[in-house]
Parts: sequence; C-alpha cells; structure tokens
Amino acid sequence: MSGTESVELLTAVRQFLREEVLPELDGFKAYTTRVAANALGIVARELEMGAGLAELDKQIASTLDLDEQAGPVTRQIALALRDGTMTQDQRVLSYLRQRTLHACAIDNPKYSGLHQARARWLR
Amino acid sequence: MEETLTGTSDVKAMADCLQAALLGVEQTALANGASIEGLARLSGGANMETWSFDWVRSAETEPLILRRLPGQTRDVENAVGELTLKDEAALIDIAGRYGVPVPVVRLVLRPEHALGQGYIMSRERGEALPFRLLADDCYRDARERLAFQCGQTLGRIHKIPLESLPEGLSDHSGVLLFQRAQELLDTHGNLSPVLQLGLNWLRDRPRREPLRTLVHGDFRNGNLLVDEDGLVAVLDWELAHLGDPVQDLGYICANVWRFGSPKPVGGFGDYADLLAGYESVTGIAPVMADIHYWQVHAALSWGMVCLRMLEMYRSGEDSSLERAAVGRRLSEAEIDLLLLMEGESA
Repeated sequence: MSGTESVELLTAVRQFLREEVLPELDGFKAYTTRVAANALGIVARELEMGAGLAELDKQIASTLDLDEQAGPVTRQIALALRDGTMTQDQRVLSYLRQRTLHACAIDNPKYSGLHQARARWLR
Repeated sequence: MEETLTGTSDVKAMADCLQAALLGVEQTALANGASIEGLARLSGGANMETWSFDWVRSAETEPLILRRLPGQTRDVENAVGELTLKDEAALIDIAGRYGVPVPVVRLVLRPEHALGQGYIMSRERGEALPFRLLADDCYRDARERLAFQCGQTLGRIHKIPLESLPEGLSDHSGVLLFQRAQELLDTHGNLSPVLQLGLNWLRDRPRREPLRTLVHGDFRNGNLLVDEDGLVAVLDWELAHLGDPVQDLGYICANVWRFGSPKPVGGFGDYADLLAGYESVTGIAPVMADIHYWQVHAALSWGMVCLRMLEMYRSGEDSSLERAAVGRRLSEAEIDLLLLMEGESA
C-alpha cells in the first residue's frame, strides 16, 4: 500500500473529532461524539492487533483437533461447553484467558478488569 | 444528555398533548394559564423516550419526566421480558408506598392523550451520572452513606409482599434463570465460550433454599439519583422481575458498575455497609459466597446486554451508534467472568 495507512487515517479522524468537533458540542451529541471517537480507536487497534486473535484461535484449533472450516472456533467451543462434550480443562481455560485479554486490549484497554487480569495471568 | 428535537412543531404539538393530558386531571388549572415549558429529550434510545419538562401554573412550577413509547397506545409485549410501561408505573407507585425512595407517578397515559404508551412522573433533584457521583467533592458525605442506604433500600424492595405486585412481572427464579440465559446465548449464535462457561458455573452451583421476591434487576450506580445527603430516588425499573433477592446485592457490586473505582459497592462503598443496611431492614445478612455468586451472574448479565444491544443494531430496531458500540464491551464482561470464576477456586 502507498500513501496514508489506514491506522493513520483513523487516528487523524479520531483526533479531529476529539479536538475540533467535541469542544463545539454539548449534551447528547457530545456524548455520542465521544462514543464515535472511541469506536475509531477500537478499529485502529484491531487493525494492528487483530491477527493475534486469529493466531490464538488457530493454535487452540490445532491443540483440540477442531476443524477450522466448521465455523468460528469460539462457537465450536461454546457449543461443546454447552452440550457437555467438552469440559473446562486447563488448555481451554488458558486459551480463553489469553484470547479475552487480547480482545479487551483491543476493545477497551483502559478497563479496570483488564489490569487485574494482566496482573494475575501474565506473571 | 439533552437533545432538543430539530422539528419545533413536533415539540409544540407534543407540549399541547401533554398540557391536555395534565389538564384532564386538573381542570381548575385551565383558568390559570398553565403551560408546558422546557420540553427536551433526555435519552437517545431509538424506541423508549425520556423527556424532561416543567408544568407551569400561575403560582407553581412542577418539574416532570415523561417516559413513553411513541405511537403505541396498547400495552406492548416486550421481546426481552421487560415490564410494560403501565406495569412499570404501577410498580414504582407500589414501591413508593412501601417506603422505597422513588419518583411520584403523576399520570399514566391513556389512548386519548395521543402521546403513545407511558407515564409522567416527578423529576426529582439529584445526580445520577456515575463519574460525577464518584468524583465531585460535594458528594463526599453522600458517598459515605450510600452503600448503607442502598442496603436499606434493597431490603425494602425485597420486603414488598408478592400479592401487591403487578401481574406482568416475569419469573426468573430457580432454573428459569438458566433457561432464559441459555436461550439468549443460543439466539446470539453461541459466539462466546466465556459466557457459556459463566452460565455453566452458575448452573452447577444452585443456591440452597433461595427466597423468591421482587428483584429490581438494574439497581446500580447510574440508576440511582443522589444528592449531597445521599440516595434520593431509585430509577429504571424496567428490568424488575421475581427471583432471588441476593441478585440485587451482587449486581450493585459488579466490577463494570464501579466505573474504575476500587470501592466494591458501586464504586462508592464497602460490602460491610451494604450488608449492614440490608440486615437493618430485613434481619437477613447474606454471606459473601452468595454475593460472589450473584456477581458472576451480574457479569454474565452485562455480557448478555451487550449481545442484545448488538442484535438491536443489526436488526435495524435501533440503529444508533451507541448500540453498535456497546456490542464491543462484551470482552469486559468476559474478563470479569474469568476473574470471578477463578476467585472462588483460589
């Protein structure tokens, strides 16, 4: 790709919303503009970090011998947990922790629970 | 969160309807040049509307709130098992009679009012925005009292006799709770193994001999109106149902409703104060293991709300940005669930 990268564009739009638009607004529109700027941040982080989620899914599919062509790995595991054909073993739990840490770091890196989880699981 | 509609004629027509509705119950005000002032929409949901306005008569200004579903004149069966607005109004009225601080229901809308389905209630003073309540110095005393007051208030809610409650309350007691949750996860394509794990965890640990009472269902920082002295009114009754009363106590201690504060009860208080307030009214002191159980449930509930809002966005039922964005908060609920489930075994 040549020219401005997607993440750069998103960052620029986000900065525009925050610094140029937001000060002009109040009430419900200011609130929604903040939500919009946050949403762009999520997309930017996903562009940069999203491959990590796919990699974790690939690993667990290989570990548990799941067929990745048979739909999302998360769905296959959720259904197996629901039907009792899979119990919550250490490999599954470890995968779910890593995946959720990664997803939350994309969705809301400031979430207080994320900091607690990192402190506990990444020692 | 004020948003004045751009179509001023709509607001004018709505003000006329409100005036006629309120005059209908108060003919004498007609002669005194009554009017509706400052009509403004407060919340941004696409369906349910909340409006603020003043009902001004010669010597008196009455601050009021309208909650309504526009265009609906009959009771609407809500897809997610929420109360109808008519039952919600009835419930607020009953709660008030049993000593729960609530707004005063002023008028339940009827078809002839041409305002849709809903009701008008008093607009109480106070602040409900969590970040203000947790940060502003003027609420320092209130923050110290609030956990105890929440315990007392939940005690009063749970003591309301079942026979005085509206019939439309849905039953979430016993296995019904798990069935409803599983149906919801199935409806949303079973894409979260963590939510499923949370539901399995709850199902594997049924409560022993739980009570069955009115449960507010959304009793948290953000739905409590607070002034400098503490709790003024409990808002947002649309998720009320029948179930295990400890659910409400765990819910207000959920991490997601602490807004980043380290204090466990709503971000403002401690467990001991909440439980002492509850015991002072009910004589019952729930144990921390029960609180923990319902914290797991609260995290699962938040995850399910995220799924439901995403579905509302995808189906076009509510195409607002807020609905689309909240779907991405699912991972917060998942983090909390994994932490909480670990907490018990640790």
